[in-house]
Parts: sequence; C-alpha cells; structure tokens
Amino acid sequence: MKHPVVISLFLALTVLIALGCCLGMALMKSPLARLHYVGAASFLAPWFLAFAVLSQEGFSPGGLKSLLVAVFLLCQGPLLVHTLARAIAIRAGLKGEDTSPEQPQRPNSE
Amino acid sequence: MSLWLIADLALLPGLVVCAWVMFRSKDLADWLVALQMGGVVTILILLILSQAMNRPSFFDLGLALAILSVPSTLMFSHFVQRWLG
Repeated sequence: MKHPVVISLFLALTVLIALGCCLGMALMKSPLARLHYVGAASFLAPWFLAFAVLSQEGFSPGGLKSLLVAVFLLCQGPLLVHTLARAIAIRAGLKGEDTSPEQPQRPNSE
Repeated sequence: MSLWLIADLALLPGLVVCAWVMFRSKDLADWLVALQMGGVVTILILLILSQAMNRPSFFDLGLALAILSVPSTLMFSHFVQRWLG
C-alpha cells in the first residue's frame, strides 16, 4: 500500500542527508574531517531510501533489495571509513608506522 | 515527472560536488574521500532510478556497486598506505 506523504518525507530526508553530507565534505579542509560526512551519508541515507521503497512497494523483491543495500552499507560503511582514515593518517604521518606482520622486522643494531 | 525522478535529479548536484572536490584538491587523500562519497551517492541514484523508471534491474546495479565498493576501497587504501605513504 502506498502512502504518498510518507514516501515524500523519506525521499526528502534521503536527498537532504546526501546533499548535506556532500556539502559538508566540500566545506571541510582536511581529508579526515571530510571522512566524517562520508560515514554519515553511507549510514543514514540508504535507510530512509529503503523505507521509501518499502512504503511504495511493500516487501517486494525491489523493497527487499533496497533493504539489503541499506544493511550492507551499514555493515561496510564503518569498515571502509576506518580503513581509509587509517591509510590517510599513516600517509600524513599522524600515526605510527604500519605494524602489520607482513613487514620485515629490522634487526637490532646493537 | 514523478517524485522519484525529482529526487533522482536532486541528487545529481551531489556528484558534481564530489567531482569539484576531486578536481580542486591536490591531495590524494581528498580524492579518495570524494570518490567514496561519489560512490555512495551513485548507489542512491541507481536505487531511486529503478523506482523512477520502473526497472527492477537497476536495483541489482546499485547492490552490485555497494558490494564491489568494499574490495576496491580496501585495495585503494592498502595501496595508499603501503606504497604512497
């Protein structure tokens, strides 16, 4: 069953969140500050879009797929933001050297 | 012009903003962040477009993009961290 007002509200929220996060990303100076808005956009906007699609179609294949995309972005969004932030921080010298086990350990000079 | 199509057109400036950030900045990190944001906006555009055009196949496009963005971003960040850091 369709609720035009509800669909309009969810769509408007989706667009506002996405555009607001794009604008915030553009206004920030440092890449790490910009990354906050990427996380917010990937976390919030797909859910409102999924609710809009579910309001339009119900639990049809399209509605379930949009819900799946929202869940997937919910799970992978923080992972990707964290990975990017770590790479950016290491590149900028804000974080210590990479301590992953693949790197060869330097022998002590003593 | 349906509501879905209006929402889809309203999201297009978001892609323009992401492209503007990429072209304006000289830092690779900014490019990566803008690219990631552009990917999220593109996923939203594809999902809304499937409703606007009444083409369910665009749902699969958006889902595929969401899934494929994970390994691509991980590889990019790994590359930046190891070889460009």
